[in-house]
Amino acid sequence: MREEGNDVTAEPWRQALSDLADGRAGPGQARALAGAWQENPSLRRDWHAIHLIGDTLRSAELAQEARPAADFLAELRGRLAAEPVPLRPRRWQAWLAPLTVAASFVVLALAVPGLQSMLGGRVGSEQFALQAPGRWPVGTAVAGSTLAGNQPSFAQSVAEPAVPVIETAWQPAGNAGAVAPFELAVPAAAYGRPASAPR
Amino acid sequence: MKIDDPDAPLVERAQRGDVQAFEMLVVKYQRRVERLIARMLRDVDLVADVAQDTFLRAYRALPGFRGESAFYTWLYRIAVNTTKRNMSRLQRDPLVSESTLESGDGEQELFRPSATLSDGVTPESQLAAKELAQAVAAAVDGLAEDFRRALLLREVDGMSYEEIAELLACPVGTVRSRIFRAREAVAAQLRPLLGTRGGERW
Repeated sequence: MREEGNDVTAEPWRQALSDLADGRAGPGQARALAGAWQENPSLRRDWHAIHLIGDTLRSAELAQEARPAADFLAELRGRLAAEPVPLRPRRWQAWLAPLTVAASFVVLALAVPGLQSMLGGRVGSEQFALQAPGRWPVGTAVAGSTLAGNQPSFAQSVAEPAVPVIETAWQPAGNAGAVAPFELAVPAAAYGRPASAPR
Repeated sequence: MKIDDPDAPLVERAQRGDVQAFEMLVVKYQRRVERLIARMLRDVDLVADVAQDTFLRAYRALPGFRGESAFYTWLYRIAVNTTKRNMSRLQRDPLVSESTLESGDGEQELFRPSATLSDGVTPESQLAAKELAQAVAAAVDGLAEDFRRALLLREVDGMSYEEIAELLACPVGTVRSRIFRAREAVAAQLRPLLGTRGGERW
């Protein structure tokens, strides 16, 4: 698909669409196709046709839409644009809020030298560096710190005993202000989607 | 996400904020959702409105979808619940005629043979639907046998590429290619019909 650049009418794109319809497309293909959706009416037309054919083969009743598909979608799109984008907080549960506070506290402790000595331990920033891309078991990372000596840290004390893994975009400790541990819901219209080439 | 849910790639993207991925799911499921609603409501305009409401609710509820069922199963339940909510609202509206509503649990309506989406639709659009269904059947009949079999095994029998490959004694890649080309051939024959229908202007 990459060689064809933006030409979604080229065969690899059309084949990828057929793959996606059967659940045989990879995440990269799904991303590329969804990315091309808004700018390419031929893609929308072909996707619609694939499913119209399948539905109609299964039941002749399904040949008719109550409202023509393009109109239906246009109307729904208007409504979706007024909604906040509903993002799934990956694996985070209801304890997110206090843990975020704890995490901010921990990062703040690193960033403020006076605070470190107040808490009685020297904390190397490498102890809070990202252990592996995107995955950071909160319990073990905090346990590895010498923050506050042998006392359980604030973060540890609020963490549940069986702490699920958090996937997060933690910055190295020196960058306290850059931490944004969860995605905020913003109106869909704020997501400007440029016409994208496949990535 | 259930591993064998064909919607998994798009649902996962939608859950990460990709509205276009959600739109692709809407285009995929609009007809099926509308037909389900039509078993409970007869008025076609209401069917489309309730379908809109259904997809909006599904969009909002996306973060809570954990993949314990297939996406369509989940969407189906939202459609039934949304229709029931609308039915009770309509029952309180004195201007709505009884013929607009079907009584009983939407789930029980599944096997009523007389409920079709065509009820309440104009004769012209009923004819258009019939023509389209006939055009699909004719186009599929006109395919070379290997292509027709692959497409039907996939779409009507719901078989995986691997199962089809075993049945047709050919590689999975060939199955994939045949299904793709079969779809292209049928879609090409439908294009004139689809192009003239109101609203099929993408």
